[in-house]
This record gives sequence, C-alpha cells and structure tokens, in this order.
Amino acid sequence: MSSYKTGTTSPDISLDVDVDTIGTAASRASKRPTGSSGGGIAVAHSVDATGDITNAHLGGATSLSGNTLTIATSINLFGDKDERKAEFEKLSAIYFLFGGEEGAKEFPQPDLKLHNSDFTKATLIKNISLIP
Amino acid sequence: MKKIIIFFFCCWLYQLSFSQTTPGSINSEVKVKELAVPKAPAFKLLDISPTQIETPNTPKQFVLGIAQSLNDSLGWPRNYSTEFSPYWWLKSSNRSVYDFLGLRTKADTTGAKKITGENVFSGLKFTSISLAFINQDLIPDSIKQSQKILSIGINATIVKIHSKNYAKALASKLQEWHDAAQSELEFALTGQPSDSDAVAYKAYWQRFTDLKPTTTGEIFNDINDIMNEKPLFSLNVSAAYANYGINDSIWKSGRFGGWATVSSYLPLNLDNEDINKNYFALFGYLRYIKDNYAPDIKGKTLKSSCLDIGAKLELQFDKLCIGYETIHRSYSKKGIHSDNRSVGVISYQVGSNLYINGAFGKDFGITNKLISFLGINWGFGDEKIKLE
Repeated sequence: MSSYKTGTTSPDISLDVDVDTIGTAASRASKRPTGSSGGGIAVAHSVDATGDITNAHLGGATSLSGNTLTIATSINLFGDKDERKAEFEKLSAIYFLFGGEEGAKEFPQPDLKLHNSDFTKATLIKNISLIP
Repeated sequence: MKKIIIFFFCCWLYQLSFSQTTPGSINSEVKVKELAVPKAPAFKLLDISPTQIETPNTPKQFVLGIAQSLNDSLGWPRNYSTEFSPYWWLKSSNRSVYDFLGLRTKADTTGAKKITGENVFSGLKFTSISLAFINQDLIPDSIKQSQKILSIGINATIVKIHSKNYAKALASKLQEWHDAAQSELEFALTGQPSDSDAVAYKAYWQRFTDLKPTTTGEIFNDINDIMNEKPLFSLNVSAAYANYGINDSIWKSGRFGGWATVSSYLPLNLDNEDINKNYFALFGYLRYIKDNYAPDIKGKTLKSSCLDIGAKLELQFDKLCIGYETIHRSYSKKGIHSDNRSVGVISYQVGSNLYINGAFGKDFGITNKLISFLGINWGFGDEKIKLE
C-alpha cells in the first residue's frame, strides 16, 4: 500500500485528485484507522462530474496519522462496448498529497481499476496509509 | 425479387439475433441514432450513396458500410466502406465529460465547473476518416465494365449549435448524476472491508462496480438522450479522393471532391416529449468535384470540374427517416450539359445496430438513369451510443 508521512505537527494536509476520463465521474475520500473494516469518515469529495478533487483540506497530522485514506471514484462510460472498453483502458487518475512532513507527493495510479461486464461502469480505488 | 426477399430475411435474422437485452441493465439498450448509411465521404464522392446530402452525426470508433444496388447482377454486395474517428483511440490532455459533450465551463469559487454554454466547435474533435472499396462502372463510356475503385475521405463538423436549453439541461443532469454517484460512493465506503485481505477487498469493490443502480443509470441515460438531440444549425465539410483501377495493373486518378453541408433540424415535439426525437430537417449542399472521367455528350469521357448545388428536406422520426433531395450539377467544360439528380430516400432502423437505406429516383447521367438502391450498415459490437 502507498504511504504518506504526515509528521506530527503539520496543521493542514490537503488532497488533489485528477481523474482523466471522458465519462461522468465522481470521487469521494474517507479515512479510517489502518487495518479496520467498515465505518470511515468522509474527508473530501468531488464537486462536479469531472470527478476531480481540488485542494481539499483533509485535516491536521494529529487527526490523520494512523489512518488509511481511501479515495473511490465511480465512472459511467459513453459509447458502444468497444468504445467503452477503449476508454476504460485510457482512463486514469493521479493523486497528490501535500502539507505533511513528506511535502508534496504524487501517487500516479490507482490500486484498483475495475469495470463491469459491459464496460458501462468503472471504479478506481486508491488507499494511502497516513503515517506519523 | 428473390434477392430482395433474401436480403430482408437476412436483416430480420440479424435483428432477432441482436434484439435481446439484459433485463435491468443500465445501458445495454443505448443505441446509435440516425447513422445514415453508407455515408462515408469515400462513398459519397462516387455518387453511389443513397443520398448525396449527408446528415451530420458523431462518427463511431469503427463503422462498416455495405451498399448494394437492386439491379446488380451479382447477389453479394460489392461496395464496402469503413469510417472511423481517431478521437476514440487517442488520449488528449485535459479530458473531461464536459469537453466530450461540447460544453464550455468556468470554475466557480468552490472550484466546481459551471457550464456557461455550448462549445460550437466541439464537433471538430470527432473528425473521421473513411475508406471505400467499390466495384462499379463509373467511367461513362460505351464499355460496360466495372472498375475496382479505392477511395479515401475525411469528414468534419465545423460548427454545431443546439438550442439554449441543451447546455442547461446537460448541466442539470450532470450535477444530478454526480450527486447521486456521491451517495452511492458514501454507502460503499462505509461498508468496505479491511484492505488487509486484498482478495476480499478487491471482490467487494468489484461487486460495487457490477451493481447497476437505477438512479445513476437512469440519469446517465437521460444525459445520453439530451446529447443525442439534433443541432438547430450545423456546418459539415468533407473531402475525398478516388483512384480507379482501369485493369488489374493500371490505376489512375479518378475523382477528387470537397463539399460543405449546412443543416437545420426543427423539432416536431410530438406528444410534448421532453427530449426531441422527431424533426423536420432542411439541408443545403455545395460540392466541387474534379473529375477525370466526366461524361460528354458524344459518349466519351474528358477531364472536367463540376459544381453541385443542392437541397434536401427530411422528416425524421425515431426509427424512420423519409426525405427528398435535389442537386443541380454544372460542368466547367463546354460540351457537357448540366445535369440534375432528384431522389427520394428512406432509412429505417431495423435493429439496434442495423439500418436499411433506400433511394429511388433519377441519378446524374447522360440518359435518364434511375436509382434503385438498398444499403445496410452496422458497427461492430452489439450496441451503439446515442450521439449526434
């Protein structure tokens, strides 16, 4: 799993998500204690159908360290099946965390890139462990 | 007559084979609309399309066209075309659904994209390339012999303007879709298992991906319907070049042409439908052709350029399209009389991705040549999108 050093005193750690697709996209980020299941507290979400999250304030290092940040993106794809399949191959997302001890860090790809059987829907998942 | 019956029987079988859809699926019934066939510029240059004046549409990733004249002596189609749009394969920068749908946006104070209107030049990105292989006697001499003809063409929509409601309706539906998707994600994130078991974790998100929730699914279909609305005005330009195979070893430059089509779709609003699917359409047409085998009045051929000016009226219903087009052709060389083409055209969507085109009337030519034409066209794959 990817990780990011928040440090212990950083007051303002932020997230950018850049989703690259011609489909409709929505992204949502939540945090939960690392290794736990269920639950989770929403910390950021996209505000339009690009699915991008821009400069979202996640909180300070004290509230984030020891958690895992999960960023989920849901995408609906246009076109016939071949076109949707081609777009699924092309679509991508880049994640950025900044403001912590590690400074600005880029995570160039999701951990999971999934599609349904007819490629009408795709899901991107990125997990980042936030360590002190 | 036997061939016609076999042709329609094959179409019927094809329709049956592709007409079944999965109950409850979100998008499996999303179909292309009004993909006039065979309409590739590589075909149109040679005057063997059922209609010369084209209707604007959004090119597919790949479309195969087959045309067959009713009076051909051979039973199997001999005229083929492919048309494809590189947009579907290329990855450009700053891609987003707003750009794809041809919407101009501006970020508000929260960073959210707000739609400010329609990008009237958005059709340019779907510029398509077409290739055609044709077996037809296109040299107007006394020898009745088909030539093998290879043709290549390009087509682009320069300007496309929808009604004011188009951008507004899309803006509303896109935001509605986004908010519904946020609710689905919130629910999924709350229930996700620990990621320490990678297999179970992936399986959980795969189940989420396989779900076809009605809310976002229905809104997405609405977005498809809105973007399928025909433009109030569009300007489409095409160019094509054809090389004639005089025999097996000699190939000669045959014809080059460039043309522009302006079109206007006036919604009929039958049944007070929210989304327009029925139109009265008007088209204007201007084409320049450089023809190395133009027919002169003595039954010989000579090099000449010609100018076509035409118009078309069309009634478009959901699956049926009926129209009439007339084109006047004048040649630059003396010794070739001007000519007219007057054709009634009909197109019917038989299946989700199968179309039949027919054209009947008088074609260009020294004699009063009649057109009797049937064409079928489909894209590979069993589904199409609603795009125009």
